[in-house]
Amino acid sequence: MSGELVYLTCRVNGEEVSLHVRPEEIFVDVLRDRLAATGTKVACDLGACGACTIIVNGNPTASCGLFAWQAEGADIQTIEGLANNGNLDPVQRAFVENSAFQCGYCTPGMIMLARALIDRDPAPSRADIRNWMGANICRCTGYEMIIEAVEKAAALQQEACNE
Amino acid sequence: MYTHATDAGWISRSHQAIAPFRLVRPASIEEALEAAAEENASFIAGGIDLVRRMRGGDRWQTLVDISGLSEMKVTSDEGDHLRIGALTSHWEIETGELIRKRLPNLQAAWRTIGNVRIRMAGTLGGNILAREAGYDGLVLLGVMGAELVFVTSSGEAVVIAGTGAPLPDRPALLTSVRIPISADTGLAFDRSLKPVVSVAVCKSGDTATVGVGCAFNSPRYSTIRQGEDAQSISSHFPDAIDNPMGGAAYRSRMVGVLAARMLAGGNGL
Ligand SMILES: Cc1cc2nc3c(=O)[nH]c(=O)nc-3n(C[C@H](O)[C@H](O)[C@H](O)COP(=O)(O)OP(=O)(O)OC[C@H]3O[C@@H](n4cnc5c(N)ncnc54)[C@H](O)[C@@H]3O)c2cc1C
Ligand code: FES
Ligand code: FES
Repeated sequence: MSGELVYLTCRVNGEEVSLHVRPEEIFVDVLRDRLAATGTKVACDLGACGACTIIVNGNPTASCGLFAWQAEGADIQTIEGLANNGNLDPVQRAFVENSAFQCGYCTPGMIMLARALIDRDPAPSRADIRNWMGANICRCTGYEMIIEAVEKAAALQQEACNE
Repeated sequence: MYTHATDAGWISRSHQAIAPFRLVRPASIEEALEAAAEENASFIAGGIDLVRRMRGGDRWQTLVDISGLSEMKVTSDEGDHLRIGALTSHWEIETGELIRKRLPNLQAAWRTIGNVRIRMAGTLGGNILAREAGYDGLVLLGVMGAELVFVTSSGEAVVIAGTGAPLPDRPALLTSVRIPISADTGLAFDRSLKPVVSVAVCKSGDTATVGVGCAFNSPRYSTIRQGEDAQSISSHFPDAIDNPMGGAAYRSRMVGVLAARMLAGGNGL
């Protein structure tokens, strides 16, 4: 038995999205398969690793653990929405400049997680960064470069604000 | 505007694994109970547990989305108790001003749950009703003697956590949790050995209540009096789970070690 389709409207990277979803459809599948926003990755598919992290109403959220209809009315940011006219977001720049990735599979999720932190706290302490970024798993880097990249991203953003 | 097709051909791994269901979004607690009374129906709050389980094969004919029931999101000061709505997220418990003022030790302990993504999406009610031995909520609420307030089709049902009383069968909606304020004065929690064992201690006068998570199929509790050898608390409990994650004897011994460590002047006590 399948339930009736559910009408979903939300904003993805500033654009209105309206579509019918099946009750059992998962949000990351909507992003990847129907909106062609494949920057968001899926690894564990269990809400544990954070590879699929997006920002939902300001909160870092595992999109593999979210039914699509749960995003009704939400303001959603994915990795595709960060760069502005070809200019990388400070978090993206800091990840590149700090070589904060190797295989890169965890990187979109890490960047969105970091973005959500800096949106809340533009000058997080190292301890805050470690605690917050502990939500996501990277199997390659050993985390040190990621932590440093988030510190740098906050500094880059601060500089940009002061200019 | 993004374009879309409702009959998109390629269906992803995660989508395939979840059995179809009917979605009901009630506007009131009464409507929620009515919908949940249907055969094979389940409530869904944040959904992080339910999605994981459905991906693992759990099937529900109907999911009743309770996330819009705003009366279950309220925290209120009732003098000698603090009432926290069952839809309160872990994050709201960790950052709530009233909780900081009235139950600061509980707030500090709650901050250790999961990670920031889990704490923002997961709810108090979902944590308790997931009925997972490894989850921390009931271990903490049990040592504090919290009242779990349910609404069922035949009225309100209150279960005192930590007494071993069973949680009511479905469909019972947990609407709030009432926590005695005094219990917070001496509360400590050590989850450093998870998933082997977690231990919470709540001290009141010369008696301490010890709650144990992970080591049994559901949290277990016992009390110890001042002057007793705290490590002996291990012997108050039945045989612990024995599996590759941790042997029964080790789990049992660590209950006493962690409890004794906290009672010897640790955090919060
Ligand atoms: C990666 C990961 C790490 C985690 N780490 C921890 C941890 O360290 N410590 C810990 O304690 N927990 C941990 N959790 C568990 C987490 O706290 C719970 O999954 C969360 O609280 C569930 O809340 P929810 O609202 O999403 O529940 P849902 O998934 O919506 O529901 C879970 C169950 O509870 C029932 N339910 C929900 N609300 C009610 C209600 N009000 N009345 C009646 N039934 C209800 C549902 O029917 C379902 O059976 C972790 C989870 C994940 C995925
Ligand atoms: S893929 Fe979503 S948390 Fe791992
Ligand atoms: S860079 Fe490979 S998993 Fe993080």
